[in-house]
Amino acid sequence: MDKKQARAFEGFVAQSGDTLLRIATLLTCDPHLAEDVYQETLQRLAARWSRIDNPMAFCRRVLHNIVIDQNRARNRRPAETAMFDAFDSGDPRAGDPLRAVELRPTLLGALSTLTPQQRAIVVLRYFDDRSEAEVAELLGVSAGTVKSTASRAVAQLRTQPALAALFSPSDLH
Amino acid sequence: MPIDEDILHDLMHRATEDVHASPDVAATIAGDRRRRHLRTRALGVTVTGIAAATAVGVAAVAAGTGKPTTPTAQKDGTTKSTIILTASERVLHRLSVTAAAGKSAPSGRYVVMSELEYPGPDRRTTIIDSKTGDLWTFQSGKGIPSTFPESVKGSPTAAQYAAYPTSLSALRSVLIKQATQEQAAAWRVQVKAAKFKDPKNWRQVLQEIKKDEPKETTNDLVFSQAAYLLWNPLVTPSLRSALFKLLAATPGVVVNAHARDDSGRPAVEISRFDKQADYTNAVYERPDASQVLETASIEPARKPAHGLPGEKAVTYSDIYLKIRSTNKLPTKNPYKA
Repeated sequence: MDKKQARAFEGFVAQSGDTLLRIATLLTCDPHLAEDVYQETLQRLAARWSRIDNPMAFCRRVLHNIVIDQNRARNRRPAETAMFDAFDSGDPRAGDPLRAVELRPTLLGALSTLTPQQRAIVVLRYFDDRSEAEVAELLGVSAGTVKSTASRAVAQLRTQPALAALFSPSDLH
Repeated sequence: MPIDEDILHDLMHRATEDVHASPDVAATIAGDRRRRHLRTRALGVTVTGIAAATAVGVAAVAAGTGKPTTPTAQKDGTTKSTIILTASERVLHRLSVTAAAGKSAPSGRYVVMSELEYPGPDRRTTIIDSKTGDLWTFQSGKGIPSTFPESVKGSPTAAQYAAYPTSLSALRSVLIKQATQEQAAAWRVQVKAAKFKDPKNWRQVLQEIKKDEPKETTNDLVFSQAAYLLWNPLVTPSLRSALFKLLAATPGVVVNAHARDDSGRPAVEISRFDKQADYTNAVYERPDASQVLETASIEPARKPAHGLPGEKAVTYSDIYLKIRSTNKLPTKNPYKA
């Protein structure tokens, strides 16, 4: 990476870094782990910067791959004992539902009940606004799989007690 | 009435709207990559006129290695110092002899190299025009374009390599000059960027940047330049031979004669830790023929610092699987069905 490429790289991260970190947060359901995944993604991007024509697409794929790999590695290890409840599963409306800091634990807790593949599809479709075809290409599955998986995942999220209330339209805004 | 998907979209955006990425992460990663770039393989090295470079004032090649010398008695009663080579130097001198006896320039005009690049792995085929130095690249890997555009004069030509000096002092001088020219070119780009970014305080900005630049020694520069000249098949046998001798005379070079490259092939590993830039450069040479099997840059693990998370040790490597030459420019992408 020469100086010119370094500036272009920093420019890309300045423009897209927030979005990438938010995607990482939603994919990992863990803000601390998301920071690591985000940084690892940028490392891989920087290593190939001069040979990549669509950095955002590359980052989406790498984020997904890292999360899947980490999940597999975690599954091979004995389960860790939680020292405290990671997320407050109470009614989010007890606080100000518009505040991200209060809404986030609830949403991440609900998303963590999905499989990594379901989560990736939900995040790419409904957070990153990718079309079914784009998500299918990115994840290497068929468009039909994306459609059915997304539908099942949304239905499952609806059943989460902490999110059920938020799915009621009258509670929005 | 909003449907579930719209609500989910809204929830996910609201729940992460206060999540912001630190700009320091990108700057740190870009800085690391930039430092590495200064030492990446010699594609794009400006060698025009390098043959005319003079070897002025560099005569300390053999003196810097701390070789023990033993006075030995001669038949005429005088004594003469005998240089005792270390095991590493013996291996490098053997490679030098093998290189000198190696094949001369490739028979065809175009050299075709099949490579494997890590992290990845990405498969890559590089084609070099030995006459013009133009480069073509076909590659296969997730998220990267399959064809990389032609790079006009992206590599030194066979004639330019043939013009390199082969006396050690002159070669050392040329390599230092080459590295200094690269650094000066990179610095000029930085000056231009600083002036554009902050026309009033650009000198101050540059001073801050300069503080973070690694202060490499001439031995650091010689090793990195020499190591990354070796991989190119256009390098002449006499230059390769001289490069190994130069590496033998460079302090800090570590040689493992019984190593293997990342694809498992027996190799001689020649490496050196660059203390200033905090990474190790390594070249894996085929022991029985004059050919580089792999070049690698190994970065140590880093502890968390300046609010950034730590990093695992990482190795960036190019493995050269097959090298052939042809007189017809290959235009078909081997990775496309």
